[in-house]
Amino acid sequence: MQLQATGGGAWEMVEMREMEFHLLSSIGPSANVSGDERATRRLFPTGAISGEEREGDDWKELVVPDLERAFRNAIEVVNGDLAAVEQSEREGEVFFRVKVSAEHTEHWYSALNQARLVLAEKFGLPASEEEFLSESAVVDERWLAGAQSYLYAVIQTFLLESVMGV
Amino acid sequence: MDWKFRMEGSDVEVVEIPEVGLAGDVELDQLWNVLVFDDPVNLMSYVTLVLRRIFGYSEERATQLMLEVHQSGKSVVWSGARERAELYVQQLHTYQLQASMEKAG
Repeated sequence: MQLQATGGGAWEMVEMREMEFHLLSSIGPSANVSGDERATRRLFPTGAISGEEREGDDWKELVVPDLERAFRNAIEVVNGDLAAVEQSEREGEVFFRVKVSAEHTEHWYSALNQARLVLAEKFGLPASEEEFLSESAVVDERWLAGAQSYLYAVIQTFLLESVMGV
Repeated sequence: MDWKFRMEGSDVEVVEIPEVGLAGDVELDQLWNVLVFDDPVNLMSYVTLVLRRIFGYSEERATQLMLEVHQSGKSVVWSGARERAELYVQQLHTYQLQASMEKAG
């Protein structure tokens, strides 16, 4: 897969193989917190002040729905871009290309971050890829979650450095 | 540079404030601190970007606070009136940073 800025804040992912496209298609499902208490608490904190119950109740009623709306919207934008994927075949192999407009870039960053936050909570992933690889010898569900998360981090780094101008 | 930002689908709006860590006209006993906590997911340059956008800090100031978050586990990124502190925590949550507020002192 290659990531390239195409000007004016737009960018694209090209030369993607099926597995890479599959991992991108997993952003939405991976960002879903349902059933995981820790991930829910991380993405939707129930208060501004730790340990203050009343504040927490107000926060849950007034702020969390807004967070849920914003995060859901980001996932929907990403899913829309993925649905517009272009495919080409070369020497018997299928390659995928996804174009993203400047207006959608923040949503992509948010959706990738949501997925990484949830994966980190569910699988207890360490901060660095090196640390993860040094402690993970078996290719299991957690290893795959780590590989997925670090691919997303690579895309986020590209967005920050080459698209969002940080 | 204009750092105003509104995430589509969200009611949260960033308001610009002067580049100071402490809002004026607030009695010391009414001060609230906004804290940002370190986490293993948010990239360092992203944390800097968010601090610049929300608080209007310079690159240098935002980087300094980000490093404090990263090295100490948390940092007080703003102090001032409770209402404004709540707004900032809400905005930080919208950007998926771990944040909360506490009474200063």
